[in-house]
Amino acid sequence: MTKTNRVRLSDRIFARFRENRARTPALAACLGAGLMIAGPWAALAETPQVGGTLRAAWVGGGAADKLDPTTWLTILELARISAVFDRLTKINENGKPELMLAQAMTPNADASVWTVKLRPGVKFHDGSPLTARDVLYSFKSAIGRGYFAATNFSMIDLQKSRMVDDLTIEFVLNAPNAEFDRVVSDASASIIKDGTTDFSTTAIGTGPYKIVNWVPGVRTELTRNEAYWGNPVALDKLDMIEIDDDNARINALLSGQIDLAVNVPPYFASQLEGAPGYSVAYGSGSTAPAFYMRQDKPPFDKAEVRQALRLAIDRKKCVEVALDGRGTVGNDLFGPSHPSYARDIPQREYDPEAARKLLDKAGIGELQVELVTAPVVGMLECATVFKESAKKAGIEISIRQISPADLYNTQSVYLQVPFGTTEWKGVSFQEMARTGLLQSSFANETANKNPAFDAAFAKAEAALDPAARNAQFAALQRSLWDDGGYIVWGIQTPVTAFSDRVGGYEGLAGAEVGFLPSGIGNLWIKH
Amino acid sequence: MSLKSIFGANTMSRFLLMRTVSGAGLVLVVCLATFVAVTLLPGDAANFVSGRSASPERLAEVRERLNLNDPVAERFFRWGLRAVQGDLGPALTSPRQVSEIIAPRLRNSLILASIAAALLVPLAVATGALAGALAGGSMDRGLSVISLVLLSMPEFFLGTLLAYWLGVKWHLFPPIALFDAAQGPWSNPAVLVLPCLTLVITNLGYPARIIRANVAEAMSGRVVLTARLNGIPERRIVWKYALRNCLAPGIQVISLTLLYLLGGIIVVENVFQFPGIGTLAVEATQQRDLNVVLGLVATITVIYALVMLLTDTLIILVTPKLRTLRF
Repeated sequence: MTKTNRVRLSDRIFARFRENRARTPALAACLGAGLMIAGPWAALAETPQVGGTLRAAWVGGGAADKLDPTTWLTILELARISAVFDRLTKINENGKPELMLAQAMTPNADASVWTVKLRPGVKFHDGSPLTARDVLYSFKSAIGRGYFAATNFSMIDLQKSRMVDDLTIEFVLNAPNAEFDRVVSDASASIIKDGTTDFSTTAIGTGPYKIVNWVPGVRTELTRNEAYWGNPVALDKLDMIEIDDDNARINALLSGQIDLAVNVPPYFASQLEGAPGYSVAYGSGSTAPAFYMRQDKPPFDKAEVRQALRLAIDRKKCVEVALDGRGTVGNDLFGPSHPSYARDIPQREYDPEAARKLLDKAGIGELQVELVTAPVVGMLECATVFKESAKKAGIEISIRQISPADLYNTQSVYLQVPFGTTEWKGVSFQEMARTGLLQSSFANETANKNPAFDAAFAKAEAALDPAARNAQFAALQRSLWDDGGYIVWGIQTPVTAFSDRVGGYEGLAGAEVGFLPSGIGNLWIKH
Repeated sequence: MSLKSIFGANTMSRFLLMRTVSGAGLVLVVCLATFVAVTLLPGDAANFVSGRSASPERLAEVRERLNLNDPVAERFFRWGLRAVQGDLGPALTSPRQVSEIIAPRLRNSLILASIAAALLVPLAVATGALAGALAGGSMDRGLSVISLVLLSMPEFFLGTLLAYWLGVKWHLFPPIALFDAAQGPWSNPAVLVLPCLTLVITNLGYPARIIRANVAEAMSGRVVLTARLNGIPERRIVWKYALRNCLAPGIQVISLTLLYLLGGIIVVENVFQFPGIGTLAVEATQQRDLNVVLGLVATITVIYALVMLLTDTLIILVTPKLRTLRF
């Protein structure tokens, strides 16, 4: 695949520049994975400058913002985690795990024990060295906190896992898992210092940036970690500013108050494309806005109803209207930018006739359902398109609009309503499954309680050969495609806008393959 | 023991006592209503502290830690008891104290409101007096149309327009008030311009029209006629006779405008992302941080009650008829 070749070349170039400690990844920048730039190409060809302050705006969570890498909720928190902390591995542009703090990760014959050799000489921001003790503590703490990590790392047997020497850890797993090197790339697997319990004022990691000042809900001021084990970042200072309002974020960019804005709503993109001095970068990714149907609640307990609704949505129109054409049509599955994505499954099309037939077969006839949604990333617009397109199939959808802040409110809406709205960012099928499709998953939005599915998933995870593993994952995706509870109508293109002074944004704005924004360390600014 | 024996026959102190008691009652009622309203909203702070990524057990733990499982009445009573002692308690969604969160935000909002008021009051009096003195003329008609347009313009609409034209298009002033709440707007005073301008423009119409009506009425009265017959210059008549006559309604309307400014500030702050009590109120409500919401409501209500008390006192002081009235 040409894309893979390009990325490999760029990786090589990056590696060479790291060796030389010359910060000129200009060619690599041009070759950034899956990135299209609407703006002056000249900026790309320039040599990165060392120094300066870059002010970037993110969407955050206000006063409830946290620095704890295991309890994150917002994209801002994820970005900050990737700036301050490192993990054992990261997901690279190909969607494959790449070593970070680990120098080697070796499984035993059946992948039930993984030996991790740490990179020597890595130091935390306070100068203390990274040891195996910190790594073991990080996982123990992540599991103990009871967030996503609790299920994501439940395969680790903490009792049996041990520190072999200062730089070697032996992870003993409850069941064989050939993807353990992918599992530990998760944000929650960020390596913290042994004994850390307090994240209320600052956070100490081994990442490319150090926290200078953190005001929850307002800003995070970061500075270069001179002792970084990789290539030190170019910026003297990175100011991560929290601007939740879309209009305000764009206004701040256009008036020069900030240099970069992430999460640009699709409808602002065309407006920004023509603005002199600014550019827009479109990434390719796996961010999927979706509707979920709970299989334990009528009428969605009938497979025919779920299939009928999936056929009754005009996906093309949804992408056109809700995402302003900036995205691709979804196929009711997650993670299209990852190797495990089942590409052979045919695209589900809008077919109201087939939907009507399915409902007749189930003896339902006219169907009335209520869809709960909120005005975020085109979900409300898509719901409106859905309502119209479903009429042809004899389905009457009434839309209940709630505040975006309530979308994941578990006391009123989330996991409560039979037909709701969700969004999954950048995750692969298997990551999504661990969090949302197994009986033990607490974000099991579709009430997918199927022991056979769980068993097949565990079997797939144990398959040592990546191709065989992905084939098994594909079979599971097929079963979900056949009668699961998700309507993944589109895959959103991440849009990042920035002033022409900003360089090295390709990794940040480009392919969104992992859950963590990558490339935050490559940013630089003309000054 | 009667009130009279405590405060004597002094009507003024009795009036002040009554207003203070009713003000305290008002604060209590408003806080109770807010408490009930926020608890009626679906979801609680635990959802926003832990949210989607937390296990049900973890959520239950957070809920327990924040005392969200206790009966509503008990929680309100506990809160009230602490609040009268000046302790607004800890925030639910962050490890800080409510007073610590509100204080810098309140200061920022008061700075914004004071500057707006300092511009608004003289401007309203001047335009009102001018239009009233020239009642019926083309100047009066022009001002009347302009003030009506301003009066009917919502803050968010004008704010958005100003942010776009003066901020984004012409780069004159920052369209977003990006500054650290703790440091205050003085670190970059330019951020105050657009929010102030929006507040002044949208709030100018009402007081200007009321003052104009009162001045116009006074100008056609006997006092002014006599003054004119005595050859007193017109400017002096307007300032000394007409305006003085509408002092009481003027104070009333200006205090109403100031109170309205407090409401308008919530909208304007959100348009410009100004870190004051307005943006805090929206954020805290969304996150169901009951303690912050209550702290804010209590603070705003106390300010309301104080402004009203001050207004009424001033009106009594400037109106001889009321000064001797028995309550």
